[in-house]
Amino acid sequence: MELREQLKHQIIEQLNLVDFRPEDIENDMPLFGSGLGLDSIDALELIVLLDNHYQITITNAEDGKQIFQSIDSLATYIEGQQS
Amino acid sequence: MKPCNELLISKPHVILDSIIIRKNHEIENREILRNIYKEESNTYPKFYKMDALSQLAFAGASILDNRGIFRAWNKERVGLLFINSWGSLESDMHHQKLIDTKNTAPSPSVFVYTLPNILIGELCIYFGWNGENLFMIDNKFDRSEWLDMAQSWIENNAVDHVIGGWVEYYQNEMALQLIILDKFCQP
Repeated sequence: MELREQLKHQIIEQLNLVDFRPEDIENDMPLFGSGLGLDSIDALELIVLLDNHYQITITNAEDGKQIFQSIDSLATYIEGQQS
Repeated sequence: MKPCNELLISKPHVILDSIIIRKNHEIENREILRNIYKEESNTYPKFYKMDALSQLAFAGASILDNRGIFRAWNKERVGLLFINSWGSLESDMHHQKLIDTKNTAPSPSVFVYTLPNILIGELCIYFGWNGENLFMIDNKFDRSEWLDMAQSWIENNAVDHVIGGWVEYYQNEMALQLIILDKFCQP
């Protein structure tokens, strides 16, 4: 499965977003605020998701704001770390 | 002072003021709670992220809310008084299981429910309630003791309305006895 699609499935499952299907999440949709409406606990879940599934550890909270903007930014960051 | 309303949620049914309002045909308790939420509220997706204890309290409050029981309440003068015997042990054990799972980090969204009084916060956030609140652990529910304490809050002018009672969810056993005591209600 392509990374962006995989991330959508993982986010829906890990964050219990029962009202969303992967196709509802646009690649450039904001994950927080007006988009998916995630909150601060969800941000921690995303950090855990990156650690558990991609062995990537985010240590700087300021980096997180950029990385977790959208599926696109998250996928770009993962691809950068894995290359 | 007599209770204004009393709601019971158990595995077989939901009873409001001595009348069965729902027969639960679902096999799983969590499915019962999800379906009650969908039928009565369905306006708060965060419900799905709550632990079972909070979902149980939220489902009960949704039933009362849907019948207009909170409509005239002063949100600044609502007291919440809950009791159970197992605290948040269901979530505590879930969290421990995740800790024990090798090579994975525990879930923050499970961790935040490892205190039973989180359910009070969930209700206050959704309904906008402010006032006294207390979550106690006891072996069993003493209804008259609960009524005495709730009444004392009202008589001491701390609050005008009290919601609470017994809320228990552990090892797939669930029980909610949700009682409303209201300064302005004449049952």
